[in-house]
Amino acid sequence: MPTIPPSLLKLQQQFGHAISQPLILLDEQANFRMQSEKYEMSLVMQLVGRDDLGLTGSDRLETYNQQYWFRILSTMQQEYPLLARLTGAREFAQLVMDYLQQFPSDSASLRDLSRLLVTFMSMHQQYNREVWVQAAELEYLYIHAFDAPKLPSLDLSELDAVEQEKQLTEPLQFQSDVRLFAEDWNLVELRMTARTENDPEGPILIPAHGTHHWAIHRENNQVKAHALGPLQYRLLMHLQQGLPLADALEQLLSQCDDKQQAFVQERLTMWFNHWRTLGWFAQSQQDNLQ
Amino acid sequence: MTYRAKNLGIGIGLRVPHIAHIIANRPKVDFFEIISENYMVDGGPPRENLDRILEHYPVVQHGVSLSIASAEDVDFTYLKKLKTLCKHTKTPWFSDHLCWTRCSSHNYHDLLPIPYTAEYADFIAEKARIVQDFMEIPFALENLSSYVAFDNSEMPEWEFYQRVIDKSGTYMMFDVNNVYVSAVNHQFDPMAYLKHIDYSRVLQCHVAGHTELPNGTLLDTHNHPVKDIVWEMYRYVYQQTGGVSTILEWDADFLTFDQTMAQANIAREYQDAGQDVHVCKR
Repeated sequence: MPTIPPSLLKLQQQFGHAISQPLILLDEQANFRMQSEKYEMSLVMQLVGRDDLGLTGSDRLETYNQQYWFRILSTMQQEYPLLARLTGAREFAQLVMDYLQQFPSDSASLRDLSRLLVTFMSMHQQYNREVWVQAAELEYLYIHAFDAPKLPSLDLSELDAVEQEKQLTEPLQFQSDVRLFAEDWNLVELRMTARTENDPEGPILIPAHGTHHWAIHRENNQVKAHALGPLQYRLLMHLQQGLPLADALEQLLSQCDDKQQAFVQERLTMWFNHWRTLGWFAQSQQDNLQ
Repeated sequence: MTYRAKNLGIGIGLRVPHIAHIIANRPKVDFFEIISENYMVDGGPPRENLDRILEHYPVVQHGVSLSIASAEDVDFTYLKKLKTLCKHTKTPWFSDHLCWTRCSSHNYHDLLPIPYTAEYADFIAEKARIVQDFMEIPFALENLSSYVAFDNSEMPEWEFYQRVIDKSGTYMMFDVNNVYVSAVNHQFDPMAYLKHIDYSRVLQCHVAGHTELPNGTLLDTHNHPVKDIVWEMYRYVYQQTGGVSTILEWDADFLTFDQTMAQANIAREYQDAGQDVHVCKR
């Protein structure tokens, strides 16, 4: 390997520090000014300005500083339309800047930018509002579901009796895009509203409190939210936690009253057929190796 | 030694807003260029779409995150993923930028410049040589558009660029618009740049549009038609190469697919002379 020039490393550290300086937000529309006074003078002095246009080395750095945040903020706004609407433009920009100060991007892909956003929000009181955190969790699931690889689907109806029996006693493998999500404000519908309303900057009305259960998954290359009943959600949770079907069912039924038990037993086959047609279950990797 | 780089014709950068149209209508396009990092994933729609594109079109790979000018060792984890994708797409060569995007594991998601010194050129050249050896296909570096210059630069950009290519034995992905953007931002004659290039090393060309900021700085935004002056520069480059694969980059404020291809096909008007195979020195 070639020897790394120490002066190059120092220059890049200074340059990177300068261009990722947070913006100062001036108003609710997130108009801003640069914090160019925070650029290290030893770096600025190395940059060639343009006298004819009155541009200094600091002005040159500002171009990169501004481009850096435009790219980051527009990416985050695209991925988190609901969170951006709930917080408002200024708070959203501040959140993203604060987040990246604590957790700078360590991946080449902008898709990974928000990997720790929910963790960050939970750590900081000013961002740790339940509805914001749940919105961030939901929108990260949309990113995850879009990017997740798919394994060959498991079709229970094609299995012989022995194999079907085996599925009762071994954990079912879910496709990796399928994630279960419980939330308290019907945020899935609210996200749709946030994305389609004519006034993307305007305030958004948070619906009444009430628990909603979803499976976020990808179908025909589009991420969808599939509404689940509470019992369906609990059964799927048990399965995703690794319980074989027989055990998951037993656990669910033990938590149900008589009416609910009858309901589950009546609907179970229909539920599974539907989930199967949605392709939520994968052939186990062990089966694929055989 | 020579490397016979086939002139693939005229294509565009493959971008999400056009993919459904391309898959459904299979329009006539000589070839597409993909951003490698968008497809270096285990699965999902990007890979599924790429496979459908590969059934009907040649694809070349262009990267944005190799960060060859970073003050760090070559990232073989990245290269292994890239090599796997290159084998999948059967790209005849791959390219990335003569820049840095990462420092001390912090990614800046931008193509950043460095001073043009002999020490840095030789450092980058050695890394580029290692990269090309590892990848086992020709590696082309793209000249950068930049908005700052450094007072400790020892040579003009074209000399730095040529030195990296010559010392590493790699090739050029020559971006004509980038030459113009840097020429305006740093006040040099773009033709001086063009006259100092060894065109036998150019594997592929890029053309694109740019944006002028109120302070006079040009930004390489890829969201406008190519300026006439850039097309004239392209005419010169095309003649010098004797015919070279050309991609129009359009990355924001998207046009329809047909409009984008119409912009790309303007290149034909400037291709006064060309041949199918461009012989490169190795």
